[in-house]
Amino acid sequence: MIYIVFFFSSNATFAQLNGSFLNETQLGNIPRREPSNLISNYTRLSLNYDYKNISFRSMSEVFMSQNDNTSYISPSQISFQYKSKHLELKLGNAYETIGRGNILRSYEIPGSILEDKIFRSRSYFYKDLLGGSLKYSTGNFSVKLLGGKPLDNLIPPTESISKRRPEIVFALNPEYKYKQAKFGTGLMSYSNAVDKGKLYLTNYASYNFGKNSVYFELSNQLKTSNSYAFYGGFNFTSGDFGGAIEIKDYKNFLIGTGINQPPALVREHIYRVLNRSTHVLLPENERGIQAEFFYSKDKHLITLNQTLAQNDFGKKFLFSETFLEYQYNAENGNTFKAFADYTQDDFKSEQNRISFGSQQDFSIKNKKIKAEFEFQTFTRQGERVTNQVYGITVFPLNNLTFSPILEITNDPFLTDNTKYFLGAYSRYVIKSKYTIQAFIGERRGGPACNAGICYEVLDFKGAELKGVIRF
Amino acid sequence: MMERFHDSLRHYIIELTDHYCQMKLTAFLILCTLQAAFSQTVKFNLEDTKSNARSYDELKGETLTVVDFWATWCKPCLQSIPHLITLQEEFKAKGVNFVGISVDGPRSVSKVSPLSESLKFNYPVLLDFNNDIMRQYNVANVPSLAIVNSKNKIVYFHEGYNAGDEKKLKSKIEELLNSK
Repeated sequence: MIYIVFFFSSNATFAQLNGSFLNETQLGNIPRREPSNLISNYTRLSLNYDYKNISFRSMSEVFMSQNDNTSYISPSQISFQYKSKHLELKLGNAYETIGRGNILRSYEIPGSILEDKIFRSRSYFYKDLLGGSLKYSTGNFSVKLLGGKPLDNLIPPTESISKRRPEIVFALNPEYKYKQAKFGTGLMSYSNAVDKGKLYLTNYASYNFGKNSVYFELSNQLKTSNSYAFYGGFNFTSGDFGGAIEIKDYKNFLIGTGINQPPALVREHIYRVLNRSTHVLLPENERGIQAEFFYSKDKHLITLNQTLAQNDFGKKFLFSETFLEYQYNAENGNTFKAFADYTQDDFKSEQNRISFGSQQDFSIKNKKIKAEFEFQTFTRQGERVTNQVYGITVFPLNNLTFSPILEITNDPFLTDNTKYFLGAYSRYVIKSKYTIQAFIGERRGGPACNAGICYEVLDFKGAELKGVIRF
Repeated sequence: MMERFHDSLRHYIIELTDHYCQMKLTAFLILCTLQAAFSQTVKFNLEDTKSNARSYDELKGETLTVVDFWATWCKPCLQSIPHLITLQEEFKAKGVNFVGISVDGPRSVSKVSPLSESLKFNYPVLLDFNNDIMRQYNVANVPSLAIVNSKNKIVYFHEGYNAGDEKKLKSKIEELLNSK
């Protein structure tokens, strides 16, 4: 203890300590689940300590609940990093991605708290590697050697490390840059309790020419002819226009518990009705194309996206989405956004899915107001389903918001009649360092995508208080 | 029900007596005590949208640097960016440089270059593809914006964007420039 105090104090001039502290208390449960007033508390502390070329990072989690066997205290991440001009060494919990993630991808969803319907324990949503990596760079050449056990983030911290990290990978990843071109290759060995030493190879290349660029990546499992992942992307700009066209062809390419995440090529939406209905990539068998175009002129931004994806599991399932969005930013800070979307989703049996909505920011007597409205309708197995969202955010003070939100649905998967989800959020920020957020009411869960990762969010009815401190 | 809660609480308290937890709590208390003495410094190397390696030292402003964390899928980010472009124009001559850091991952990174070109960014856009820099600076949401002084210390941090926040940012930049 004395040593820790001495260490921090003696290096105060050069070193820096920072981090964040999050606490969330819930009183409530999944609707119609007993006890309806379940109490739980989740705490997370992240600490970073940097001294010259050395960094230490740690993340600890504590979850307490009245539910049996869901509480835990977990030193979830501890890592050490050394970085110099030519060398980068990481030990402990590390985030590593090779290429665009065809054979290996680590990630975290900052600020998230994941809860699973089966385990009912709450934890941070991330997928890292417990092991280490060493990268050597010189001039245009770099090579990385890595090894470790990826986290299966569906298994909560209440379970043992051997259950949460049942796989092990080792990889070699050299990259070479020549003028505007870049080439890379990754060779990865994968083992779990059943498969020993499966080998995966990925090769990628990119080229920048002016404001345009291309990227290709081809990956396959060695000694197997029926397992591959191909991704290609081309992006371009011309005056006020910009665009990206991407193609994918994945076959039998889900590695283990999902340690890889090839690019999904499905647009990530922030609108509630669209985010919830997103198509989730199935790397076992999926091919498709995504084209997105932007037009920006003065205060106007138009986005058009066309996505096609096909899964073939003996029967073919087509996903087709056309999305159009318009955004206007006025000089006085007022904004207007509107979107329209038309989708056919065979996999979910949702036909003629039409969605539209708008968001406006405006001021009344110098008080800011944000209003949003979304509507969605589709046919599933002969039944007409509609979803509606109405929300408003008011700013009684500059750093205080109050946001009631109402969702209405007649989806037979959720209700026999019309169901109303009514809830309200309030958020108060003090000096940008301290944030308090409260929720009361009922909110709708379902599939959600954030930062490129899709997962399931549970419905919730009750009250929730969350506090975050940055230091 | 309360008995079960008390059991959980008792279990938690017993766990707290564990040596490791004592260490964690003590470290946290030390950290809270010392936090006033520290302020985070900025240092990073990332690739830009043309695969060129760029360092913070080469991009920083003489007086202030505004670092904006954003993503192509983030609507409030796209609302704020035209205002940041205007502020960069306005404060460039006063030694204020803006730097955009895209946190887009494999799913959307291909859209960063065409969108930023289309929006006509007048400041460099870097790619934090693996979110290492985001993690380093405890960025939990996008957009998040940090103002860094000439000694590379973060002197202001703001999370999220609501209409009118650009006025607050402008006032803060002016206040920091005037305090020099």
